Amino acid sequence: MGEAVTTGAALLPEKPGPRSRLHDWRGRLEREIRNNWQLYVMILPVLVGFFLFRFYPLYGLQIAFKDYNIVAGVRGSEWVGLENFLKFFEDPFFFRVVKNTVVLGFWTLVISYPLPIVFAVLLNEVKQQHGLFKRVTQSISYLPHFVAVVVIVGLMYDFFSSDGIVNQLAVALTGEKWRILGSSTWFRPLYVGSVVWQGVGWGSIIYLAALTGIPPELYEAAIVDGASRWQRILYVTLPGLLPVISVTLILSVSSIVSVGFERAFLLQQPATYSVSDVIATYVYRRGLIKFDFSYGAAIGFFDSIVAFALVVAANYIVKRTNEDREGLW
Amino acid sequence: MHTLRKMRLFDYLNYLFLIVFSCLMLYPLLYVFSISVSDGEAVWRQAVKLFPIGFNLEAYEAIARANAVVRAYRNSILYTVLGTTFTLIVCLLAAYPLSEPRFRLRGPISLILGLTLFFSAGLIPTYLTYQGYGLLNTIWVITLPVAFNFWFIILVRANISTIPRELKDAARVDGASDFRILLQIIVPLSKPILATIALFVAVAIWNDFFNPLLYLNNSEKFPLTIMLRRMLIRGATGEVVQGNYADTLQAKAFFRQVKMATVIVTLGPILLVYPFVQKYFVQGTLVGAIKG
Repeated sequence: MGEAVTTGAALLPEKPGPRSRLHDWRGRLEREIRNNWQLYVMILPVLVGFFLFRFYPLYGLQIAFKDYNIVAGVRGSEWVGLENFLKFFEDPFFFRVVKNTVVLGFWTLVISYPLPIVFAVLLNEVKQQHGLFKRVTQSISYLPHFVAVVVIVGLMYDFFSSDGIVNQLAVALTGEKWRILGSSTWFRPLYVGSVVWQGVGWGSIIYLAALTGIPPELYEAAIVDGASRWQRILYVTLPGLLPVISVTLILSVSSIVSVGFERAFLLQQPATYSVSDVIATYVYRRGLIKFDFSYGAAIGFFDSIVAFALVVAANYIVKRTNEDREGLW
Repeated sequence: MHTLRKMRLFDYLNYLFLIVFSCLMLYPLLYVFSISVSDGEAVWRQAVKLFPIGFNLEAYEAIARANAVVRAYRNSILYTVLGTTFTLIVCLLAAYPLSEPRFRLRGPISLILGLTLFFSAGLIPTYLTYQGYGLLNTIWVITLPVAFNFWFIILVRANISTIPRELKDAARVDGASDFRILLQIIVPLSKPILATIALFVAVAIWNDFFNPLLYLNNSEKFPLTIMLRRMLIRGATGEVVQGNYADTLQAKAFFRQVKMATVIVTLGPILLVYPFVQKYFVQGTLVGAIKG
């Protein structure tokens, strides 16, 4: 279709002939490459790498709509339309993994999202003459961010084991041991707790930076006007944070459906699957461990579509609710 | 300013809270260290709660003798160094042309590569593609894909565009080639941002568990994170540490010390450089946040 249109346009007498245009274009390209060949040499390996590692896998996404078999490969496998997706909706575990993902994502968001803001506000209240105390607290709070998830979960296995440090404390206080690991009741608190421990300090960096942008005169004026500390926090500090808060909120909403693989995978045990099996771990088990590649790809695709839709929706809502009508885009 | 300097009840509570908070962040790390260096007997009696009791390095000696751990450590170092190097090379090779106004394809290429920030093929298609390349169980699958991150390219490009045009123009007038400009002008002037990116990537690869789990199944190639899972979560410390250990409480306590010592040597490199490089990390996050 597009080809026909071009040919038609080229045949019109008042336009330059196709030949000379092509020639002109070619000449420009030659000149461009002659002058800038080194730039092309530089960018070439980058383009090849992006193609191989980032774009070509997208071509493989088609197996979500196929019945992949190893012998036929991605190309040769048979198209099955939306069958894999329908299979997921009818899967007895569909409800379980979607619910677990959303519940875990929801609690993580609700608890771990506001805490960095609170922490930043409290640090901001540290007196100017105690700058060292503030800096040391900050540095310490960032530290857990650099601890590998596998280390954190591994240590939890030790600390919360039946004779770990936590149970030593429990025995000292209540006289009995708690069964924490491998218990469905404890999985979510453990998960969210580890996210919080690792992320509170690091997450506060962006808010602390925004706080340094608030002019000190605002606080001084508020004091002159007789504002109490709570009023200062409420009417000076928080409004100063609002632009950043709306951006970070949009970005974190999609985390509700994209619960990270590593932490859930490492912390879960078959005994806790009823609460701990999330979409990401299910994709891994079905797709790679049980070799149901097409099915796994379809679930993963479904998950990323929902995550994308949530970001768009959150952006829309933030745009509608704030005065400047500004979202991420 | 008088009222701003005076301490009130709120301030005391706030300071108390922040101190408790810091202790919560530090306690697990201190506890792990204490277990790893305490006397075996104190660990076995569960006497160690905070600071080390006695001193012994047997757990560390056991790690040094355990081939699997030593090999995993070497692999982790290799992957981290190689992956970080690749990332920096890709960043420079991409960011310089993409910041040159005379490079005509600047716009379209940025746009296309920028798409990778929003779309990814997901676990299974990516796995099958890399498998198709024959990359499974190679060091390349851990170190190469990670290098193609458009986010880092944006950071370097933004930094290059702050370098005065005159510097590059003068060099070009003097007959310097693009490669020479990149190496002798761009690289030296981009050191801070390159250091920041290197730190981020290095920590990410050092701590990465996901990619090794997916792509490596040959124990010769395992990095530390996979070893840590075997020891701490799968309870296979006994297999990892060679030697004859009876199935006693003492042996179990010793295995615990070995686990904690492994955690310490894993965190070691990060903890050692952390105080000195922390500001780069913070700057990096902020540059990223502002540009985003």
